[in-house]
Amino acid sequence: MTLIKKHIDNSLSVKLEGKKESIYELENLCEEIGDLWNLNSKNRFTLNLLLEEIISNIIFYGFDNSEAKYIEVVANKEGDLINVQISDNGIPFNMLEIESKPKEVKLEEKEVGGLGIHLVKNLSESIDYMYQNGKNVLTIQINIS
Amino acid sequence: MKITATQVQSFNYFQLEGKFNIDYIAELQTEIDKAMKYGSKFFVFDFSKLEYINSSGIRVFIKLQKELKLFDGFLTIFAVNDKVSNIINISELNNLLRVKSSLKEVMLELGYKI
Repeated sequence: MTLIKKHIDNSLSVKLEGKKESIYELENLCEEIGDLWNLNSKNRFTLNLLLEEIISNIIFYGFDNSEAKYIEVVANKEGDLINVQISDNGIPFNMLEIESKPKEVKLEEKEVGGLGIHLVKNLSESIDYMYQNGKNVLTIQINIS
Repeated sequence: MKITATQVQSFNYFQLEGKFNIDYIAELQTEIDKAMKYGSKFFVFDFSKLEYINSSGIRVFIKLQKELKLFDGFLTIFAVNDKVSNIINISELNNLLRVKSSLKEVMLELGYKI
């Protein structure tokens, strides 16, 4: 089991390997976050879904074979907002550049991966992306009020 | 997650229990494929004990709905909790298939007298 670090500023962090098995670690991480900040079941559900969608996308589509793959997750809480920063050393990818499909595009015609991004965009309070020092850094905010 | 697949009257009845995450997609797909091959083209999914679904899970239902269109089939889900319902609505899956509140409502739509 991957070590989840609790920091003195009340944030949590975990470093995951960029492989499918890491997806199974997310439930533990979400439980830790949920317990630490007393999240209700709706917010735990949202947090789990967002992390699973983002990290699955990185693991399945975000790496080539030439590197040591890792994903780092750092979470902290400010009032009613949870900030989660997800960084990885994979191929540069900004999900904000993926246009949301117009309503008239039928759901069954949307490409694989697009639905997960659609969920992330709709469930997050805000999303920021930058590519810095060879890393994708995606920051999402979740409103828990 | 626990997947229970049975034949009830003239339709395939699936009960999904727990968290439908990436691990169970292949298992549910296998059960659906079996039912498609040997059973009726009417599918009813009981979501009353389903606690979690993600985009991969939603895609299983999109794929099934596409296949059933070719056979004049029928796909409905019922008893969806609020959290799962929110994901279904954001995904617009509610526009693609029938979402009912109870099995009774499903049976009435299928023409069974309760």
